[in-house]
Amino acid sequence: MENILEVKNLSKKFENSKFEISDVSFDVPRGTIFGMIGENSAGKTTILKLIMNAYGRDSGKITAYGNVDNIRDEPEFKNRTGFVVEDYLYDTISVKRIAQAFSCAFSNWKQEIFDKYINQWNIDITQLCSQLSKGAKIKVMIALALGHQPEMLILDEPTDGLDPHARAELLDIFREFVSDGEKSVIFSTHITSDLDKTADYIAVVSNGKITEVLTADETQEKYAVVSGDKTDGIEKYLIGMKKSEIGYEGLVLRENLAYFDDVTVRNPTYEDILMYTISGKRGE
Amino acid sequence: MILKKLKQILDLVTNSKDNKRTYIIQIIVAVFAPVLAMFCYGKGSVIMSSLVIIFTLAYMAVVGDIYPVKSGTGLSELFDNRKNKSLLTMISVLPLKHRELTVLFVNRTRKIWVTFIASTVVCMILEKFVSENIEIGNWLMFSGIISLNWLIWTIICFTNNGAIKILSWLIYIILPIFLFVIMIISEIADIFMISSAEGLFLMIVPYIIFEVYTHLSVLNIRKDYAHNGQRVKEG
Repeated sequence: MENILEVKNLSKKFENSKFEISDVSFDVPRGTIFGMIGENSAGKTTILKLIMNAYGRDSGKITAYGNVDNIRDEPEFKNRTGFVVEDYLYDTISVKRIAQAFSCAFSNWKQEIFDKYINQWNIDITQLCSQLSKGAKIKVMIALALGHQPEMLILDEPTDGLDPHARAELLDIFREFVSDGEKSVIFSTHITSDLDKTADYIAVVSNGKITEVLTADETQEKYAVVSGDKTDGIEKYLIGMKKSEIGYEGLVLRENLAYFDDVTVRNPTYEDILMYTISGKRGE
Repeated sequence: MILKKLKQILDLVTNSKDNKRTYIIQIIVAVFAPVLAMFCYGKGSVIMSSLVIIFTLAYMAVVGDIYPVKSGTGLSELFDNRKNKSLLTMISVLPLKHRELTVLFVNRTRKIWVTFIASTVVCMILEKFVSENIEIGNWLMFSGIISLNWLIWTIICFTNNGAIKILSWLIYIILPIFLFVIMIISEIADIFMISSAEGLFLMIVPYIIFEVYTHLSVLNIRKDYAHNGQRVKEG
């Protein structure tokens, strides 16, 4: 499968901060939804901002659409990529004015697409951005991103601030967007159930690194969640766990399941992966 | 004590990572520009002395308006940090080149227009102090050329119509040459009492300023945004 985005050995250090992005590499195939999970301050937003060249990278390479470099060919890269990051909507101007600015800036802008989503979400485009709720702002930014007909959508916490109905609607839009097998969606989220429903791949981000990239199938094949009474002698096989008064639950590699007796085994969710590979590992 | 203060100021000015540098530069130019202007006037050129003040004010307005802001940056404080963050994020989202971005954001603030009008008025008032006759034509033409320049740039950057874009480019290139030639060969120069050297100055300086400024200012923004460690905490 052809990759729509390739990130190789991406690194970035920040002045006055111990935090760094360290040697991050991953590929996103065309026609897929790629989710990033991680704790707060793990580095998800920073990786996405490095991809959009909002932060200058120290080293590494980011290419998309074959050979389009995100810095060398920045206008083309951004023309073909839709971003929903932070809140870039000015308080003092209307949604309509922002759409006008976008229509001039992007060569593939299609007003009908923007209007379709704005009408679907009942947003009054004459409103000032300051009058929009958090959820409405996200919807406007998504409509703006889709309006210029990108081949790839990059979104930072897009479901944050949306009600369940709007979240479901957005996930449907993602699925529809990638359905032609040519386009892709990359998004970060804290809400792991969104990934369970949509993501073809997940990347686990921790301390500025991507510790693992898995498909849904690989997750099931590689890991299992076990729960039992006592951890005597088997703790070293647990990748992460949480203890309670009635016993423990933890994540293990399936190849190590043979070491566990009298335990209940189930398939892991992405939340389990996040919880046990990062938080549980630290014994939190 | 004085030496210590001087060293602190020097550190601020020379430390490119510190936004206070902008503040210090603004103070320095604000203090020295009138002195320099009066010196120029002493040498006999009202236009030259007033131009010093106009460009000083314009520089302060432009740099102050779009330079990344933390605190204590003079005019920049008119931008609050949250808005500025939105501005910087939007820079990163749009597929525009540096110069186009500058036009977009300077136009958005609109303060540049106010500054040019205000500086024109200030210069006319200053001139009133040193001369019986106010040469309004000079100032109107000067402000007009700068405004036209920005207007044409905005059209070049943001029109989707190829013909309009080409026409704008032609005007952008031909207009100053045309005006300059007219000024030299006709009596216009006499009417406005502008020598050909001053005319050249009036025509060329705005263009040089815009070219240099537009390239440098956005590079500054990007550099600051990319490297000053303003990492957002949400991860």
